Amino acid sequence: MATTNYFKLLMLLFIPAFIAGAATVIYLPIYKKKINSRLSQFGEKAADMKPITTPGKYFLIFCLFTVAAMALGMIIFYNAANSKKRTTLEAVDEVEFFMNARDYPTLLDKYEPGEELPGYDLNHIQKENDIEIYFYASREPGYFGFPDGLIGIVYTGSDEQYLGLDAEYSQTGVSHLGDFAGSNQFRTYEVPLKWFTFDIMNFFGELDIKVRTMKKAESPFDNDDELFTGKTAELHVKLDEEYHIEGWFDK
Amino acid sequence: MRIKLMVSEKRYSEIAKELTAKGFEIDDAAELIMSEKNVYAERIIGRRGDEIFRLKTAEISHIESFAHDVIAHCGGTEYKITERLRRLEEILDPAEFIRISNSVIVSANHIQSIKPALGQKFVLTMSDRSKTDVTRTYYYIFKEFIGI
Repeated sequence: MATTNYFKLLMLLFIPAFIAGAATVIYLPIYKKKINSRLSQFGEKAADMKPITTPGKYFLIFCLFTVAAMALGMIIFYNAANSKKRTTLEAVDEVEFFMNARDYPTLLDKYEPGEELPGYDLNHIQKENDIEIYFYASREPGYFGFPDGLIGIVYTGSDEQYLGLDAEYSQTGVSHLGDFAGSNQFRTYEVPLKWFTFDIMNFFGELDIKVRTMKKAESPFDNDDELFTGKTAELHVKLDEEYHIEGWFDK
Repeated sequence: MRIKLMVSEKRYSEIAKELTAKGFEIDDAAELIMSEKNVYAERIIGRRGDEIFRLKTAEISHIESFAHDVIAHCGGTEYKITERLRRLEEILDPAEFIRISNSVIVSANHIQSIKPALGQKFVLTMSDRSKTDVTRTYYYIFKEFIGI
């Protein structure tokens, strides 16, 4: 690893020298032409003539210039990479909201809703009727491979209950994208529901989350009213407030 | 007593007459030299075999020193000079002639082209197509002289 880093550093130092060397090779015939042109003017006021930059000096100046340009480029890139990300429009004119229940083994199994999750801000906690809803927003939305948000749900009552989640989402008033709305329903089948993930594309509208105590569902066709056991909790979230959008809405 | 005169053309005959009247023999090959201040030689004595030539300095492209010999290149022909390089530096017009190494003096008017070489050197091509080097010691002096 150390060897690789030294090699990378060596390459980094080699680049300005290589570029400066190439530039100097190009400069050599220009220099020769200049000095012979000055020779033809011999006898005129040599003292008044500005000295011609030698190839050696030219190489050094170009090298320094390249190093400075590379350093400036790296500073700009570093700042851009580490500045607080502002959510921006995707390059496409589509709106999407994807939500999934994590009812199979994932990394999230190591965490309980309410715990600190690296890379996420716990922005909302709703506790109502022995049901707790935890809403997490990613600090780097759009970061490939990780969801833009997480929702954790917990039943804290003494009796044994399963939970179901309904999510309704809508977005209006964005002129070039049009209105967008939809809903998702999640029921407990085999594994008790705990974590949900969602991803967004040009969606920073409103999300209504409703968590209900329910019996285990036997099939997707089970009647929700028959499964419902009486307790609910709700959370309303405005995603544009979760992700600190700047000048996004074109109202 | 034989004496060599290195004075301006204008005053040469007047001074030569005066010295001759006083018993001096004017001889360009003499070792004793009388020279005028701020006057540079317009001619120097060169030899080819047994023949003696009065070379115009304006026609000399460069002068080289080989061991004990000093050779002037003039019109493509080589002539042996009796003066040492150091002496020639004093008597030749410094606005025209410049020393470029420990063994070479060149006439700037006879430099055909300058080619930069590695390591603070120039390769000069003279009017007679011969090449000579400006060495590192004289590099900056030459640059300032030419104005490059």
